Amino acid sequence: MVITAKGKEILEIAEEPEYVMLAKVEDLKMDMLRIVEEEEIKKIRLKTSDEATFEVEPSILKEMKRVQSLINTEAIDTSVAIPLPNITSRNLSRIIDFCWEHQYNTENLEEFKGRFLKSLNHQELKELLLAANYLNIKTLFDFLCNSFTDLIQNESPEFIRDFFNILNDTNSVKSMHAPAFQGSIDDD
Amino acid sequence: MEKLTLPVELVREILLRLPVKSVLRFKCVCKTWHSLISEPHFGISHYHLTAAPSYRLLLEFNESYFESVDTEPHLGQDSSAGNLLLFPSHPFGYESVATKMILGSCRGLVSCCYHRGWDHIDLILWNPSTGVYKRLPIFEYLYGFGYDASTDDYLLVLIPRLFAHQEPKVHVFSFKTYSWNLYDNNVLYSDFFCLRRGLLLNGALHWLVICEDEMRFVIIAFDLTQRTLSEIPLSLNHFSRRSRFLFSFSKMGECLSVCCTYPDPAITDIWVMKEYKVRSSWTKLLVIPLIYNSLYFYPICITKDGGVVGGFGLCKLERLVKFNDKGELVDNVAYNGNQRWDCGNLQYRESLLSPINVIGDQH
Repeated sequence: MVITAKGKEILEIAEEPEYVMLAKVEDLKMDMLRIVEEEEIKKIRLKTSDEATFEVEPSILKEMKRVQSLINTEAIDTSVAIPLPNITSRNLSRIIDFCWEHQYNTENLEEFKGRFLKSLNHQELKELLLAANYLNIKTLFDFLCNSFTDLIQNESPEFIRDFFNILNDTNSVKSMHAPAFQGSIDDD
Repeated sequence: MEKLTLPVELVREILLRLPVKSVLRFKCVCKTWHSLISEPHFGISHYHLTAAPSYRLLLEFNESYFESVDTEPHLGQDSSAGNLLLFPSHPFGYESVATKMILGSCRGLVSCCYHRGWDHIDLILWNPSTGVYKRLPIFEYLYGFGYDASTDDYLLVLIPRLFAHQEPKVHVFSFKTYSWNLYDNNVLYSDFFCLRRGLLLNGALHWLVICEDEMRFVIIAFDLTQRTLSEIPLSLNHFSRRSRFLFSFSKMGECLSVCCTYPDPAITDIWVMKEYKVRSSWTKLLVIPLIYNSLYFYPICITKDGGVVGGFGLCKLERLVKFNDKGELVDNVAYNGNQRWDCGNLQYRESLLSPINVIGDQH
């Protein structure tokens, strides 16, 4: 089965991602036209950890610096799908979505980013950050880092420990009451 | 599902994008975070990555404390907007007899001094955000604090009073080489009735002085990279024809600013030089009514929405006020300043940069 959405194709996907269901028929028509126009451009296939294969157009691929460098330096056979063992199909489709919107949606990008962020829970946000870092996609990486800061900047150290799954190894009583603004006075 | 743990490199990337206040609060999350945040390179990266720096106003509170105020919310209403900071203590316990003076700030570091008599000054480099400070040996005299980006060096600039028997020179102390250097002073001026700090803008320090032979005001600028002194013309009759006099040289946002005060009706005009070194770009920013029977208004800093925070008083700051961009009074707080109005307060940028690392390795 071949599903087409927003200029990318997903082949042999086990589970249909939600956004495909939501894509409007109108959008699909538009995208079909675009695909016909871009047919000659060479696409690269990526294979996720759950064995789904994605066909990605060069303009999106350009954002994935790691895949780019794999193609350029390692002379990988592009007729075979490039394996991405760290990334699930769910996350790759999100990433492609983001890159696509970042490139083509100039009018409602902020609105898209808001919706994109809302659809993610904390765990998914972390997974996506790891994926963006792995694929070396600067726009997505910066966006996610900034989203993290918005989430945590007004929170307490206890919340942060819970959020990042960190064990409190400080001398808790002492450090909790240390005035944040005095810091360490280093004066030699 | 088990919670994902992010590797420390990614945590660092997130922390680098947080505001200074949050980063400092998260120092006690765990030992790894504490050492990550305390590391000097973290502060430098954080400084360069900050897209929208935050600024606070430093105000003398009493003999031992300074108050750090966020000028964006209403003044005096939100108690969380102000923080009391303990001023770095004097090495010999001179707090009560020595005059404290803030000399200037750049990149989040504030340079201040204890001033005992005219030739005895103890200098302190202080980061009010982190509380870390570095005390320096005694200097004879000093005047401005800045940063030369071309050599990554903090500089102290001193222009001594011009005496007939002395060759006019500008003294520059480099923190990196820990030494003084002399540069030619080709601009004649003599307005040195008191210690006055320079304003840092566009890589140069600026002072408003009187050119004695012609009895006119002039702004002098010392370029911290070129190490040259130059004049910035001030078309005085352009804005101060019936002024009581021209005073209160300050920095409003990224513009140099002067004030003119008029009697009857008692107002202070705030003028800004919109384009640096362009004489014709002097523009009237705001007209401030002199309320509370004040003789002068001293602007201190500009707020994001175009308003101005400043003080009323005769020669000491007696009332801290905020005006909006239409010149209407928004906030006012009674304030009991002890120092000369231009020495007891200063706007600084929040940063994590450490004063410890500005001194060259061998010192």
